[in-house]
Amino acid sequence: MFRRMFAARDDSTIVVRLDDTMRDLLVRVGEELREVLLVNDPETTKRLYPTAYPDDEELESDYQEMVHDQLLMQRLDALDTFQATINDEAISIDDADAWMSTINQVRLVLGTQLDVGEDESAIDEDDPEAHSKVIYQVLSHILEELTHARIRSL
Amino acid sequence: MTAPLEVADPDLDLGLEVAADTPWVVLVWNDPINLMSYVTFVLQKLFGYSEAKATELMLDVHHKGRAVVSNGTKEKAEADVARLHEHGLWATMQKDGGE
Repeated sequence: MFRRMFAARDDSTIVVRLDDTMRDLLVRVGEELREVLLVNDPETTKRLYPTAYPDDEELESDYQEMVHDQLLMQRLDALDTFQATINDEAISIDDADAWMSTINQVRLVLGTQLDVGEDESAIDEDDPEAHSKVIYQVLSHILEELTHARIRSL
Repeated sequence: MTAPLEVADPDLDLGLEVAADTPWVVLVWNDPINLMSYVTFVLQKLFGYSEAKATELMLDVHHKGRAVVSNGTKEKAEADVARLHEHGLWATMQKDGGE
């Protein structure tokens, strides 16, 4: 009862104890994230490419030009690993980092769309965004547990 | 025995350029999306901070709104900001003393 979703092992792997419903959810959000990344609507992805130089437009433009494609490639690589290992019973540390990257990217996109605040625990069932908010909370819970398992390997 | 050091050409202004390069600081800002545990993990992973130091910085971000997490040349700061952005943290950089 109340078994953790992830457990770090001594051989630097992490056991994954997600049920099929959770894995199906992760498959779906991974597919949606790939579409978001490739369509690259600036409003949707703005939180994935933060400003580095808030007070200097020229330096900011140079920075974005330098890192945007690199960040996109890194995000797609992480997503590839995530999708290739989503049904595995145990994942490596590198796989875990790809999972964390992907899950957090979805949270960043979804959280920005939902305009979440610090405390979003209560969800009104009549809220038209209730479904998205539940998914956001489930992803937060998964990431929290995976982070605690991963931090043991540092 | 090692060979004696070759005397540098006195006409070369080695070091002056580095000294003139004002250090830059990298700031991580509070945001409502990133989990406290995740921010602590990223600071440990990227900068090799102890759990205690990373937690202290994370709490500064959470309570004070921001924290300086690294510093150095413009190139180093830019690379650090890019790694923080890769991990989804809200990071910016500015010249030291520019806050």
